[in-house]
Amino acid sequence: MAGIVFGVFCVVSVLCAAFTGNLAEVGNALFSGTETAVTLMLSLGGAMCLWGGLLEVLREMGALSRLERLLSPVLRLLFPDLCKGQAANDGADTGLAEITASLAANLLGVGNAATPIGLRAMAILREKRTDPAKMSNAEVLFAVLNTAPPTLLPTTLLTVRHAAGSVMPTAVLPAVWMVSLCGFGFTAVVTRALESAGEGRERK
Amino acid sequence: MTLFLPILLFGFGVLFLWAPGRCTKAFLRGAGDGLAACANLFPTLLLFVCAVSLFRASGAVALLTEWLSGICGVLRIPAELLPLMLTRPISGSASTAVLSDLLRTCGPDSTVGMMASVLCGASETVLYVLSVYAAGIPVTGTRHLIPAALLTCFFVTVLSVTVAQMMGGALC
Repeated sequence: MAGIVFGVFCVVSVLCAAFTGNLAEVGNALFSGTETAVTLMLSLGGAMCLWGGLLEVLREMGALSRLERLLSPVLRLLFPDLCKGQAANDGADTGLAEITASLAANLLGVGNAATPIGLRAMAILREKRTDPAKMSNAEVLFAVLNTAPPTLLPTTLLTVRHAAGSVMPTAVLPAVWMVSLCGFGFTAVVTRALESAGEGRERK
Repeated sequence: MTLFLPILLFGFGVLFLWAPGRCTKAFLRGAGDGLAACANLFPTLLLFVCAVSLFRASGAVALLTEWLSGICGVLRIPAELLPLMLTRPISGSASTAVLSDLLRTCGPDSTVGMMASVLCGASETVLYVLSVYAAGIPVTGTRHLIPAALLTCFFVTVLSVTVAQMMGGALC
């Protein structure tokens, strides 16, 4: 996918430059681009290490598991199928724990930690499918929730804003919280609505 | 919001005083992982920062903005936001490069800058998530996954712009 995006950018740029007569500037832009990339990476790199370290401290001190406990009532509401399974064979792996952990990691802005846990959750859910060729309701909902996860600490965003010379990089936080929370609610409602609409159609 | 980081920092200070050894060890481990993540990220970021730089210098951004400003005017979305809205769902590194470029040219604290920031903070790279989470499943088996993801993407985009517009004046 990244390859296609880069290809489009390059081809369109050169064609546009030929059209507008900016060909010389395009050559220069390539070199200034590498320079920008290095400065951006330097500011991003320091922040990535700092936040990575601080988040590891939070995990070490048990904040992540406390957050998971806070989230679990909401998730019980969203994944009723999994809870039924949990009641039937208590102690067995329902995937609910992995789902919670992955959302908690997203909430704290550790996206790279969220993906492997999320994939483990998907693998557990896959084994519980009733129809092996189709994704279950829980699988679809979890995947969609991951396209707009609730965010508390968007670390990359704060760093890029700071690097661009923002007076107050954190000024966007309330808006980000609000939008991502609404997005989470919207996702849950829309997915459940489409789910029952689809099931109705299948029954006919 | 000026208090957000100081409060966070105070909390970390208390944690470090509570268990200095464990905290330091965990911090060093996490920061080291961060370094490895940087090394992994840099090549992709370089590719896209160069691409965005080319795109802007060639005048393509200006052309695109000019062409689409009519539609954007109707939807009340600033045309400067378009390149970001197009790359955000497709590639994380590309949208980081586009965001950085946008914030530098329009100003991170301008209304457009705020919209772009909220959009990036509140959404994920939909295509990446779908390709990772639905890997190995035929399209017919994904059921309502794709419509739901597209609706969510659209909703978050519109809401980001609206909320940033409403809060923009109050915040900066």
